[in-house]
Amino acid sequence: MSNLKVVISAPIDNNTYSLLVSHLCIEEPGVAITGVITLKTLSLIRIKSEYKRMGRLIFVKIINKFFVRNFSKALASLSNNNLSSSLNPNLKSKSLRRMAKRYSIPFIKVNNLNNDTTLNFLKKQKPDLILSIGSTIIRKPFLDIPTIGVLNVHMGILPEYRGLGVTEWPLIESRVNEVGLGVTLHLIDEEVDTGPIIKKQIISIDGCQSLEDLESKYLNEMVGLMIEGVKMARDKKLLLQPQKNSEIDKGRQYYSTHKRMRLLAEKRLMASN
Amino acid sequence: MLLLQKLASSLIRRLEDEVVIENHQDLCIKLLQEISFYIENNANTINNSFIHQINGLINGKFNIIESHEFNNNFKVLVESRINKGVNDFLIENDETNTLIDLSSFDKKSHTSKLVIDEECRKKLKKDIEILLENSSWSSSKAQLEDLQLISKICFFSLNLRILKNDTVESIITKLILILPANQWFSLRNKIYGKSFLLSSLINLCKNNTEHKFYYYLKNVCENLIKRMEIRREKTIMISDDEHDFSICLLEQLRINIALLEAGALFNDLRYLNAVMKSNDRLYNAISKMKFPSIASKKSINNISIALHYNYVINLQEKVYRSLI
Repeated sequence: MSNLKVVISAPIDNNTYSLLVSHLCIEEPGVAITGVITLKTLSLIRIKSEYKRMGRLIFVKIINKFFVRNFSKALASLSNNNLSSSLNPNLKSKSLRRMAKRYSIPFIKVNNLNNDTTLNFLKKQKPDLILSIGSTIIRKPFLDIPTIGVLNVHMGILPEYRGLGVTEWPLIESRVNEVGLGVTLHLIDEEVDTGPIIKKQIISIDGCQSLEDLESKYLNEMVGLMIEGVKMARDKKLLLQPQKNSEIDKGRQYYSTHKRMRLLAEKRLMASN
Repeated sequence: MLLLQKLASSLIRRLEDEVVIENHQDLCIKLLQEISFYIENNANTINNSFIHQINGLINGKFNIIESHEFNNNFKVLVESRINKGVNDFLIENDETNTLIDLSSFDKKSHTSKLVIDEECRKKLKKDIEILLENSSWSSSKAQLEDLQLISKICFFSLNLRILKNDTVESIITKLILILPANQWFSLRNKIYGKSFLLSSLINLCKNNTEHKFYYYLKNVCENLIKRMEIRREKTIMISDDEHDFSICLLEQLRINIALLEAGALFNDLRYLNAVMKSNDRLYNAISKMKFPSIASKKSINNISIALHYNYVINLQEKVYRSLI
């Protein structure tokens, strides 16, 4: 039986989530990473687009990345994230570039995931599956390349909570008991979080005294669910449940929360514990 | 390396120094004080009814006229504006228009029971019909201005009950027939006037989820918050030769007020979230606003901006506090 060919698409080179997923894929029998794509961190286009989204906080992010935070801190956060031992691989590389070099995996840094350079790279790798890590808009030509699709773990429960800030919105709207907090494994389509659902994983808020406590539970679940998706694809057991239009209409697209709405979410979280 | 990290941390603290609610509240107090000084300094040149209206909104001490006198004056002003020709309704830095505009904040006031002359009402309806004949959202400037004017008149008519709801509904039906929900805030379209149309739709759909405009309005609002959240512009209407930045500010404040009302109508907190962010983006521009010491058209505009800002911040806080 031939290996499942997987390409990793990550927003930055040293993203903890993508490093964990990549290392686990390497260790997984019957799975071969045939390519890694990351975005150029300091491209003018990216800064411009992020500036529109984040305002001057983008500069905080850049300064943080290059001067304050270093990889040892990121690795230290893994222990805080309470990753179960089964998910905590032996991280031998500090970045995706180094990992790719170590395992002789084709690696590319691009300005835009939808440009010709990316598409040509992908066509050459002929992936069965692309693992999308990070929330960059992906267009149809990219989506059409893998034979199975582009796998993503959304940080909210679908179809109810599409978009951003979805770890906080169920708390703000007092719908945790009704919908739950959690993550959803799905294939990406052309719209925002409307692709077929593969599996949902509820995350308990028990014992969480702050949003940071709660968010630290997410990485564990996201990595686990992504790897489960890879295994299902390898074993040809992916069960896709398309989101019906009526379900999508009932759900809403959410956007990042204002700092005071986040505060409200935190208050509601503390009140429920 | 350590020094570099210290420098970086200090820079981060400065960059993260965002607008907080106390900044907004302090600015509201400062603006109301400046309006108060402005009126004190120019009481002789400002219309008494204008002073009366502002007085009510800033909890001021300028009780120059009695309420019944204000009501009569207000009625005369509205009727004369209609009789003179509706085109003047479009002027932003005009005392009468600002007076009418601000009356929408005073929902319980006597102005909402304005009874105007029947002939005047008929004239208004006829003027609107003529304007509707050739108007368009995407053609010439004159045709667009006609629609902006109708939108504004519909809003005033609903607030002041100048026209019956049925009449306004039939006018709005024609307006939206040529304006699909997804094209309201598209870049190709001029934005000015849409806040009035939006507020009118919300007004008509209030307490009636079965209303024929309900789903259309929901789509419009969905597109609006998408635009505001993704593009994060200071104002979605961009300043050009015809409209200076203060009008863009005013239009954005009106949109934000309408969105808070839409949030209540749809029971949807995403609207509050979008408005809070938008108000933060507007803070710097509004805090730089100056009130010239002598009466001027610019001052009327600034008073209007300050009172809209004060209103939207208070409304935002009322909604937010109800959640805690």
